[in-house]
Amino acid sequence: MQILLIEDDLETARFLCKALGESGHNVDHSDDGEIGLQYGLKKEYDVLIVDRMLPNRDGLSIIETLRANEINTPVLILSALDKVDERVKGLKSGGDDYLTKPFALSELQARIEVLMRRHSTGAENSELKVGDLVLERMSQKVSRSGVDIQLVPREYRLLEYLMRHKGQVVTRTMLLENVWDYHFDPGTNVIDVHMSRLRSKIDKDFDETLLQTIRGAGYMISDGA
Amino acid sequence: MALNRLFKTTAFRLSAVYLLVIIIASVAVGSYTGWKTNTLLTQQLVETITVEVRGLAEQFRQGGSTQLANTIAARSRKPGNSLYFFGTQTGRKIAGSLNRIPTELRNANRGAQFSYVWQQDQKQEKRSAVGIPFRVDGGLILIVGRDIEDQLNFIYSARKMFFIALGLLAAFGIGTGLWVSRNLLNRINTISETSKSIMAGDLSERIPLNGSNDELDQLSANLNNMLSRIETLMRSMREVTDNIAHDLKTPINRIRIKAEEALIDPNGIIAQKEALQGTIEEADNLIKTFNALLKIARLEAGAENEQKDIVDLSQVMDEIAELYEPVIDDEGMQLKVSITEGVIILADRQLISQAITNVIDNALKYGRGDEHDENHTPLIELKIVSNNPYAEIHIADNGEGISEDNKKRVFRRFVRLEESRSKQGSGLGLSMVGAVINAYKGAIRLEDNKPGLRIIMRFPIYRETERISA
Repeated sequence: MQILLIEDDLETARFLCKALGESGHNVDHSDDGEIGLQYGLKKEYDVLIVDRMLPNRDGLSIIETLRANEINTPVLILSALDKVDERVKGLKSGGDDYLTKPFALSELQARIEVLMRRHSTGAENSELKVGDLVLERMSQKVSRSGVDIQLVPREYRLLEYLMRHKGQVVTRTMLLENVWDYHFDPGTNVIDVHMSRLRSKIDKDFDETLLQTIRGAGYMISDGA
Repeated sequence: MALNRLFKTTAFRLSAVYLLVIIIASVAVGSYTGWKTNTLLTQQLVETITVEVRGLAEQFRQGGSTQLANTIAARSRKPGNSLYFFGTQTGRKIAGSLNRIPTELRNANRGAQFSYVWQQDQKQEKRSAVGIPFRVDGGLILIVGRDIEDQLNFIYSARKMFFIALGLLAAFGIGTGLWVSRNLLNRINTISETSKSIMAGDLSERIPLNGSNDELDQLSANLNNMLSRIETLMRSMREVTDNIAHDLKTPINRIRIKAEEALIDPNGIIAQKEALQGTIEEADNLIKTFNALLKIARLEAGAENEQKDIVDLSQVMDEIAELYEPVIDDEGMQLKVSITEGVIILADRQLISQAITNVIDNALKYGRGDEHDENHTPLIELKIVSNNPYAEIHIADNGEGISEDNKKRVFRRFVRLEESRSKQGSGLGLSMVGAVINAYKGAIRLEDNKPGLRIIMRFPIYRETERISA
């Protein structure tokens, strides 16, 4: 996958280039807003990672210019500006996700994976499948191997989010943001308890474990294949 | 120098200007009155003389110059202000109280002021008078006059009085101006002296009030209130800085120890990996603490600019109850929820949610009560009630509660009650709650839940919609 990183902090950039390179991505890096924009306009990428405060051209302006040129590559905004309205500004300008600095590498990687496979996540499918687990969106019914599973509404939304991103790591922050719309971190690890409940409902009576905990990162649902 | 400053004061300048205006006005009024009085008196004089001359002309017509001379001689003997001279134009007197033609009237055709020598017994006096000369047939001249010495004296003394009064007024005015300015200057000096000492760093200083409750006193009182506020802020700032230094030193030190330990650990790579893992965790906690501090600071700094949306508090609490239900259950605690539907406030959903979860986190951590008591079931109660005009959020536990002394302290940054030091926490949770409460004009109460702690947050209700029945 081709990734363009526009980031003026060289230490962060070096770290990201190395880490993303090791995960098998090709990373182009620019530390200048204007030059970064030119890269984005000329070459095709799968994902853009854009800092907000850059020399010569602001990150939001880069995204707006790209969008105006009908370049719809997914953009992850990486910024130290962490107020909720800054996030709103970032998403309004055309960004697809917003991650605040300092960040954990696992968090960034999970989000990039989601962005890269944005079009193949089955957001529009009426039925989501992971192995023998089936989620029907119309009737909001969940079954595994033909056995109905009763979920409370929040568990249903949690499972739906996980299944839409099957095979991808989903972090706790992503779950809080997308399922609960909370942009803060509740002190207690509430997500873990929800996940263990969900797991007990979908995995307990079956041999194959679909919902896995990825240590130091988050969760992933996959059929293991 | 001091006098120079006094002259420069606004109060003195104002009084000087007033004084000048008053003096100019008085001089104008005085001069006009004097001039008018003089004119009137002169007119009256001329009229009296004219009437008298008319009478004398009648005498002359009846009995010629002899009768005129007789009449004049008779009138000259009577006491009074009238003065006469009747004689030849060369100056020889026939009759009258004047012995010669006054030099001022010798060649005059109209009335004029003159001076003459007044004689009585041994006394001699030079006096002023006004007279009109008339030529009488036969080379004779008749002068009828009036003594105006008294009148002039009166005018002189009136003028003198006027100038003395004016002088006194000016002196008094300047004196009062100086006095008022000096008083004012003294009080302002006190204020600026106090400010100087405050600027030098002593924030405990206050401007003394004189109890008169005038504008200056009120200004001083307001300045004092401002100072108190600044002092409180400064003190809490200092406290926060101290606490940051202390509370952040500990985790940084732990990071250092971990790294050092890994370096000398003979297990090599594995130990180092573990140490690095620990370092990342500690760093994450530090970041969390910093983020919380920033958030609180931002809320406190720009409370007015904070986002205000219509927030359905009932829904917010509903979602939070749902989020926490599994955790509370896992902890072996009971959850009691009672929510009045449709309670709406103006706030930011994220901040309100975070404030509520912070309080619930505390209840989870510290509200368990006696763990060894078999009959005790720890309980967390969440409640939304509409208590017009306020929306109330109740979060209660049946644990040990906190003492009266601690109720105020818990909102301060980094304050963690001693007995709870063993548990993890930043000591910023309730500070954040306090900042959110302030940002949305709410209030918070810590009550005894008998047993336990009941925290009641309240915000002004925006609108209460009808209960939506499902």
